Amino acid sequence: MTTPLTDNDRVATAPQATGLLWFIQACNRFFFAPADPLPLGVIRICTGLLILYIHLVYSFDLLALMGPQGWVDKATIDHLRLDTTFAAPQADWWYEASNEPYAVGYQTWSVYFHLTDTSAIITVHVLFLLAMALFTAGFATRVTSVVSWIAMMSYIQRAPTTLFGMDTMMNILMIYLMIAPCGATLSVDRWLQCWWARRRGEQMPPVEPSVSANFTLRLMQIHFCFIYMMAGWSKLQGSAWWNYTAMWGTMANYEFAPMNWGFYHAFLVWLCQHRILWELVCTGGCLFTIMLEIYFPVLVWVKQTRWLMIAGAVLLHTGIGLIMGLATFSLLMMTLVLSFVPAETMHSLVDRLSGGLRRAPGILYGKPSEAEPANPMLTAQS
Amino acid sequence: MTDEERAKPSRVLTTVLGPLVLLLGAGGLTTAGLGLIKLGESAYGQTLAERNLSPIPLGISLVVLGLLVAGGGVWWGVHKVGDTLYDRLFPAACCFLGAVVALLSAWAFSAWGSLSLLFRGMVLVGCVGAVLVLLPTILRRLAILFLLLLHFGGIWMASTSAPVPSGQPAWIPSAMWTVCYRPYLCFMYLNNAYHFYSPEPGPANLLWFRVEYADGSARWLKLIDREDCACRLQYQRYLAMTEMINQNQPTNMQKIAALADTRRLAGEVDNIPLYPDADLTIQYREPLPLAKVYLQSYARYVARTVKHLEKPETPVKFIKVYRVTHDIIRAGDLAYHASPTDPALYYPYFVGEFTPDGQLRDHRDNPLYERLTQDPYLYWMIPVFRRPKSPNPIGGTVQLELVDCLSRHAGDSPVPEWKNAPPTFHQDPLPDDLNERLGVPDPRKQLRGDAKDKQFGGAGNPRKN
Repeated sequence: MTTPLTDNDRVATAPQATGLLWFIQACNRFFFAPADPLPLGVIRICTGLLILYIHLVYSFDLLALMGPQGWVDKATIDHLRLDTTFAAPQADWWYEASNEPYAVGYQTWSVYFHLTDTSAIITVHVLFLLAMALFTAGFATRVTSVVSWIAMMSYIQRAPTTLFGMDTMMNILMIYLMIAPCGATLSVDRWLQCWWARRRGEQMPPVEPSVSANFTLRLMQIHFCFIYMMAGWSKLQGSAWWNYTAMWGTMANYEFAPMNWGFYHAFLVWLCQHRILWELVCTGGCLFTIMLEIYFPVLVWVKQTRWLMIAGAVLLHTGIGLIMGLATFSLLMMTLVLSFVPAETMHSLVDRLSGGLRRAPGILYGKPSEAEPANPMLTAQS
Repeated sequence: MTDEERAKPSRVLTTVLGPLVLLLGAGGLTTAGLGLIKLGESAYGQTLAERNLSPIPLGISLVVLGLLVAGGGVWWGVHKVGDTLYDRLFPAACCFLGAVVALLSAWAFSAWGSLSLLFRGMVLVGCVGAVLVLLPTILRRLAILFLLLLHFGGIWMASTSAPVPSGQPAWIPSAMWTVCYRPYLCFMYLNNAYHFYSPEPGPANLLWFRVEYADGSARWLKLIDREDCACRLQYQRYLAMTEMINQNQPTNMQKIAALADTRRLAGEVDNIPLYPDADLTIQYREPLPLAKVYLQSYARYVARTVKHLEKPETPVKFIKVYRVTHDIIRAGDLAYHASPTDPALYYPYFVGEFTPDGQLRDHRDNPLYERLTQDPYLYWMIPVFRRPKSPNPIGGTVQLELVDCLSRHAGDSPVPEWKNAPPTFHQDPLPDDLNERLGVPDPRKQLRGDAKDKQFGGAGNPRKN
């Protein structure tokens, strides 16, 4: 008896084609070849920890930002989301004023639009934090990922004046993690799955490579490339990026840069006192930023330059985090960069990090018996 | 009977019956919740609410629980999609049942419009998911790629429909954004253009509020000081809040020129000149209507929360708000140990004096401004700058003195340290007859409209009109 071929097998064993057929096969391989979900597990943990921290910080100003009498009060937010009008696109060269707007209101939603009671706001906040903690741990991940995204969006839409790039990146990660099998590994779900199998006397199920893992990693990669491309292109509009002084605008912006730190201030003064060095630093910084942002979307797909691009992106975001104080934004960007790191590299990294845990009863891997592979979840290869 | 065959009934139990029970249970919970919510919204429910017996909270809890259970059911039912149509029918049915639960939830939350929108979005996702699961693999992949193109097409439109420096955004992306993608991008919060630090990194903007109380005292609230924040992220959030006010309307030179006349006259009266050697288009920055709406809301919040330090019950009378651009220090200045917090690096714009309910104060309270259409300082830069202490320095080091018009305009200094700066020029108000003595038309008379040479086209006093 022969095992019937799956579609993936058919695609994998298809003869090499040319032209359009080759393109279709390449697209199919690119998006739909099964992949190891381990990178998604790592990305889930990083994202989960970050969103948990970000939303925990809301606790300091919960009522000031989410309450009906907050900085943006209920009347204002209702007016903005319900009464904002959009004009129709001008279909002619001459402007014709129309009394009828093309559309009214934003399609935004938030639990906090409707909560007016202080205790209800606090209760919902605590429940949302709980959902995020469960998502981070990988418990009922398919459900808690959606709840966490709904929670995150509720804060974003309710306090639109407090948003910056960090919220955008957080949202992008959560959207893709919702459709990804990010709880398949390094999660409580996985531990429960192993526990259930052991209880029934079955072998511990392996972590199988999946199409959805590859697909969502590809989405993250494409989105990241798009972000870099637009950021790089848009910088070409500014004169400060052409005369290489833009770097100074980020390094010496008192409200962002740590200029209140004595050593940083002293360093900047010293740098300014050495004009040629100052020019070299600013020029180098500007060129590095622009070149990386423009060429990353191309060179990251080339095997030989991939690590260079990944290292460049990590370096750039470390700089942004340290100099501009945008630590959470930078960490989220680095989390997105993780989607480019091959699963094999993650395996060795996770192996190294979890060495101690495997010797003890490991919650990450279930409790593999002597006879079973020590680390069945890490045997799956893309 | 082999082990595999013996295991079959239990597999059917877990792969079919389990999800089905969960989804049907979720449907039951949601229906019960829906019933309770509708009961609470009825006239009888209002009577119950008066006795603190409203069934709405219980109904909401049941609906939320139903949704969570439905999520679990869909997850369980869909996690294995087979290759044959028969194997795909059940997962598709699970998706569809999930969509039904979301539809019931949308109905239950119909009074909470935005949440109803969320659940309608879930219905769409459930239905599309059911269709995708039903399709054979090749068609499913094509459909997914089509959805992918739509998704990234929307992100492209959001990115390219953003305004470009001194120009209009591209027509096609703008039209596509308005007509096709707006609901999707707003719903998913994917509207960012990713133009980070472009065209170039600019200075940060702060908001300074001067709260004046009924007893005549005042205190300042400054958004935002690092020291006031528990962590860096909280500080960043507040910086974003102040930055939101820095969205300005395009410059209309004719309007600015007209407003500049009254600004100059008022400045002569109050000894608050225009910023020397700076273009008027930089000195007048009227916020966009959206930023004005936010400003009003901020003012209301400040009025509610910033209490009098000694007598908290003292009501707030007015709130003056300044958007303060904190410029980036030049490298050449820093090399000579200039301070990045030098007062001259702060460029305050007066963005309005508000009543506690967030309305702009009627500028006609000042008899001088009765004939004007708006406060002559509104949206103008209130200069804080350094200038040579001696008008005609003869060699040697030029000593600079601080000209702090912000303190003069606000009534007191927002930064106590500025008071220790060298004395500013013209500390005393202009004598009433100074202009007459010098043969210059009195700006007070011109503002009032008493002068023979009417500056304002004889518009008269709008209050009298």
